[in-house]
Amino acid sequence: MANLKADELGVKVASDPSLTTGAVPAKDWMDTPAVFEPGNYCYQGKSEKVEYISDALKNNPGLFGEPRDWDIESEDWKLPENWKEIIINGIKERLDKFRSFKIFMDCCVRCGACADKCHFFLGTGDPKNMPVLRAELMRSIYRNEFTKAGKILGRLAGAREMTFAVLKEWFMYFYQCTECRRCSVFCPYGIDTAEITMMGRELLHLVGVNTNWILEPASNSNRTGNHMGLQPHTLKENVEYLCDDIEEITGIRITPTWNRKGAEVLFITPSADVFAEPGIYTAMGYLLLFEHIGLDYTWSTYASEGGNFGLFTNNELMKKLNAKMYAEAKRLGVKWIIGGECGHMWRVLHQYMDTMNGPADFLEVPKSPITGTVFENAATTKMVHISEFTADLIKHGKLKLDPSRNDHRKVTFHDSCNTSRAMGMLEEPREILKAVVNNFQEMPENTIRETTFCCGSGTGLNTGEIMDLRMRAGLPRANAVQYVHEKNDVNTLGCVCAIDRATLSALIDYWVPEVQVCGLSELVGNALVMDGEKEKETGLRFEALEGMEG
Amino acid sequence: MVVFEIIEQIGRISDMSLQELLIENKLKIVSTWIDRVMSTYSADGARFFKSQKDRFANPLGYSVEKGIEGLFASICTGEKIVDLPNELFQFIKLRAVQDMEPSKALAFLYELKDVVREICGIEILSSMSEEWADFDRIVDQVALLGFDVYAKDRELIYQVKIQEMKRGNHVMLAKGGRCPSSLMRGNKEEKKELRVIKDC
Repeated sequence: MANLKADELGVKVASDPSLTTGAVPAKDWMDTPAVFEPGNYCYQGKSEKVEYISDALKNNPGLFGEPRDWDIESEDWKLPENWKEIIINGIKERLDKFRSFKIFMDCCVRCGACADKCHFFLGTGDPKNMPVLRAELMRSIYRNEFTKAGKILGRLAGAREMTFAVLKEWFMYFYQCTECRRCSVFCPYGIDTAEITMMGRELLHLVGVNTNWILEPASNSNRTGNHMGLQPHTLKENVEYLCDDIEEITGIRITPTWNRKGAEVLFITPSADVFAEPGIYTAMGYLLLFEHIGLDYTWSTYASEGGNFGLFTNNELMKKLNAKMYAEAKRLGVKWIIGGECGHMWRVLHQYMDTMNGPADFLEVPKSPITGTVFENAATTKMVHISEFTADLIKHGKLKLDPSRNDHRKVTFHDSCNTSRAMGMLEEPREILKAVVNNFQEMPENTIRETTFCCGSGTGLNTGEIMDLRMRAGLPRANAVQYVHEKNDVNTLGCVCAIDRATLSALIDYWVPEVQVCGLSELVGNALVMDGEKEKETGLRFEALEGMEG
Repeated sequence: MVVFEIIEQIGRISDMSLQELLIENKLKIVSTWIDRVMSTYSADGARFFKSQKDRFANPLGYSVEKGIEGLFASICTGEKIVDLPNELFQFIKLRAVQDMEPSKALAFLYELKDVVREICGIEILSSMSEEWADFDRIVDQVALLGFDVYAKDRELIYQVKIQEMKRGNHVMLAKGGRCPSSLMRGNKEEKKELRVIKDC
């Protein structure tokens, strides 16, 4: 019998005989369609953004498809007539161009080691969120088009034709992967599933299937130099506001320089550090640190973004956005670059920069002017992470620190996927923490370092329309934070990535609202004893220090 | 021989209270109840959620297992239930963001009635109509508690969205009074100006 009330309301309700069973599709994955409903997809890119970004890359026509208005929930995505041909040719081109892609398509033996390592799978149980199956979404087409067994045996050999249903599935699941590479740590062949997702997204872009949350910041970054599209005067003004706050808290006036030619170091950080909370407190930490050691450095209003959303679209845009940092370093004539707390900037730097735009021979191998340490790890990129730089200063005893100024905080540390798995920076943040706080507590072993759990919203998934999805994807991370909060009274989650600072804030607001998220440089800034400072009563976010309450 | 055993068993059960019956069948009830919860996930998902016992590698499975065990232990006391186990809080919080209708998200709490009937036998329970009614009331009460948790979590999600939006514009809002909407207006003005320049 129909449920009249539910019918009237237009809702579905669980019903007899068993209240909870029967709703899960029992069909083979190939026969289970992706269904888009509000909340389970990111909004499509605006046509003007596609137009702009295509124009910006006009030497590589067709990378972003035809600009158009389209609706993801519709059955007509207004695809070009020859869209299948575009996709298949796109795969062929990439198999020839990227040897890793070809290997990853061929060498998986479906051992299942990766299956339960993905945070999306852990939060949903959806088999297509098992990395092996997410990759099968692509491999099935590869087999059909490029292998003899697939061509002859079809589905028996795990092959299938490229159809609109497959395209929808790609859009659904390549945007339910944050390219965090946790699964790759467990793969005996070292298959980098993130690169399969990257290929999937590149191919989708070829036929104009995209998300605005990625295209718009990427366009802005190309236009004004940063994701928000902030213009030079706004950037400068925002940093001045931060300097006002620093003066109020410490009594020290800092006057950083902008676009200064001949500075020794160019400092580039994610733009979120100068306009969004809690990144602004991290930026205040940078300002204090550089003042403390008297570093000869400059900010830039042009290279004003450490992030690179090109990484989430295709390699050409990633290359272009990465190149602007080096163009600016060359223009200003600096010796080397310090990069702020960012995650994916460092994946681009450590894994792709050298073959895209490097080596940056016009710069010098980074050498700390304070300690004399030569950062050999950055010999070709010439760019050093602020945590590497700070840890080195601490190791050489070059900072005056009073960790008791962070005594109101019990801190745990989230290893960002990119800094831990893509650049191997595991010890430096911990060395910093041990020096600047008195209460540091690690999360459980299988949730940190190389096996760290993703924030759940990386790779351009940090948009509000998929908040539910982000909360379930972030479950494993939040679960570990909750554990140390309950067991050890942890009230602060430190990290060294701007996307983390933004996304973990939302995640923690939902799962463990008693905890605050901060960048490590904020804690450094809190602990620094500056020459000529006044007695500090608050931390950088104007929170009362221990013993100064009331 | 078998017939005698069955008669003896029925005789023994008929002497037991519903509470004693629940305690005696605890393991079976809990495991069936967990199976029912897991059946709302894909077969691959359910298999993993049931088998991986590490609470950090499998937070969903852990919260279901511990949450259901804890809740059923409370129900077995026969006392009024005023709170849910922490693990169940976490599980309901997860259900609230798992892309399912509220009725489906919480149906697993009502499922206990069905599970107990199935395991303990409807005939036997029908002879305990009063106790059965009490048991029903407890389950309903638990479901209402679950509903409270679920509704709060849904409300929280919207707060999280608002907070995220606010955080993204801290400096502009706090100092310059340049909220996102005024920036958007600015963009429009900028475009208009550009158009005028173009038209000229």
